[in-house]
Amino acid sequence: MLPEQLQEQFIRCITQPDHDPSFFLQQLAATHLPVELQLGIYRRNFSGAIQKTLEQIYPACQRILGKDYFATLCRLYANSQPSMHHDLNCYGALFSALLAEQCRSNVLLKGYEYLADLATLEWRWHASYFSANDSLFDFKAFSQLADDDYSRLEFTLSPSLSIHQSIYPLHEIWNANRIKTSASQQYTLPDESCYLCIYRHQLSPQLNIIDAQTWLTLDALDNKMNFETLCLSDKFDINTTLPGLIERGWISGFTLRD
Amino acid sequence: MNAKHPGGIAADNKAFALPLAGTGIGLRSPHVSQILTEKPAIAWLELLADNHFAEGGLIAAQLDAICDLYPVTLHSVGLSLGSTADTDRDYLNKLKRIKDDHCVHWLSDHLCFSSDGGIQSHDLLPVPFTQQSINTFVDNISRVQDLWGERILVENVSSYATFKDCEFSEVEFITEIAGRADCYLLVDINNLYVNHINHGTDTRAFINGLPRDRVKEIHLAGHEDHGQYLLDSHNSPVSEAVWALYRQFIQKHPSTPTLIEWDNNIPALDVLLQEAAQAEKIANHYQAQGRDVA
Repeated sequence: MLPEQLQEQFIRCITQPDHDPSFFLQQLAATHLPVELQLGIYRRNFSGAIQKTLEQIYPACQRILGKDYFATLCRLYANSQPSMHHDLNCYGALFSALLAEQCRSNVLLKGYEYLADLATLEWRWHASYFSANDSLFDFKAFSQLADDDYSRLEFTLSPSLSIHQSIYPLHEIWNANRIKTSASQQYTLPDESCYLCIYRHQLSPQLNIIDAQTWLTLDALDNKMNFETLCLSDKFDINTTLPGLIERGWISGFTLRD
Repeated sequence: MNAKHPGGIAADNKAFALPLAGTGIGLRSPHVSQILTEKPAIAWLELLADNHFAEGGLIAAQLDAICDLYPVTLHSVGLSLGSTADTDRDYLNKLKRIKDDHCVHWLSDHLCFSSDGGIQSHDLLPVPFTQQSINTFVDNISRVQDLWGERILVENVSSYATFKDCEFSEVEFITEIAGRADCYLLVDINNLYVNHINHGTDTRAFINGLPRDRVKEIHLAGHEDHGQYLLDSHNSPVSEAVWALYRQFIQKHPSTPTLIEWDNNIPALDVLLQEAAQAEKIANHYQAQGRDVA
């Protein structure tokens, strides 16, 4: 077997449990360790690393689902989403999609439909922790903008910031489960959507409940809506919202689009 | 010395420019705050580079602070030096960014591969001890050293797989790579012991066979006994058997900087420092003995 084939087979045997290992096992010599055990040790190391990573990113989901079922989901996720990045902190972004699919197909998860939303929240919290630092808003450059510039003006959000909208009281569920599980948890669906903002204040990620107008503005900015369009639309109350976003560091800069 | 903080402590501290000496510990996140607050006497710290790739936030801030206080080395697990595929330039660039911003004594990685076709195993996978594997390592290490701008250290790995088509012993394999790639060696004594139990590696031949001038660092760590095999788990104290091997090794390689690694079930910092003190005591004993003989 060529070295290229050997390495390809080795990786596939470890990361894809359904892959037929017979070709690779022929390259191994049985010692006091049977060849199946030799490969099995690497398979366990891999699934252990993936599970540990997802447990660290999704503690609330794990507490709600229980350790065993969460481990099963980790294996399912690893099978469907090979790790393509050397940094394990980048792995697991699509776990919420797996939970959504599980909630649709598994009757035992009836009543747990909020899990996909909760996983999205946990991923964004995790991403906020590792995101780049903010640059300081350049008030001097902003004050020097010419009138013509405002039609090209786009505000940029802090790299650590993301927003989330949900019909579930996610902040309550998350707070109750990420550290310890209360004996009994019952939640009432709020009348209106819950709007959340995750951002890093100094060095620590924060979760804030925000009002609908703030969410709407941040969503528009996140979608690169320029300043002129924001001002012309009656959906936005820019005079009230914008200064606060800059003051809190949620808007961290601006660009002029050509 | 310190590119990011030219006026910082590191820039004024001549100890940062001296060759590394003594016993260090691997820096792990549960200990960072305590180290920054209490500033315990630690000869040097090894940063697991993969834990410090964050672009900002707490991890980046702590990295800056640690590098201002202690001599550091960089240890990575993702260069995949034995891979037949191309070197991951993005990964190497991240390592370079740490080097460019901080005073790093050296970079070390492993004699293994970890990815193929972009798929990551997140493990240190062994390769057969063949001429082809040697050629692959030599090419990859040389390429990395060209980009890094200095010699790197490569570490022997623990393994659980025995390949049929081996042409060399492990020590012959490592020695050939180090000579041809003109790189340095990091010898992990726990890995040597794990391989001794798992594969019957001849520890004496290994210790006697390594080129003395290439060995620049030693690792010590704990393992887990699974009955049929030992797992290189880094979750327990250094075992008596590994301490015994360390004594043999340090006699041959006195004054080689030694590091205590502990990655899982991480104990209080004091426990690591006690392990480091024990290694230091052993190393000093044999160093003194060497001086007496001379």
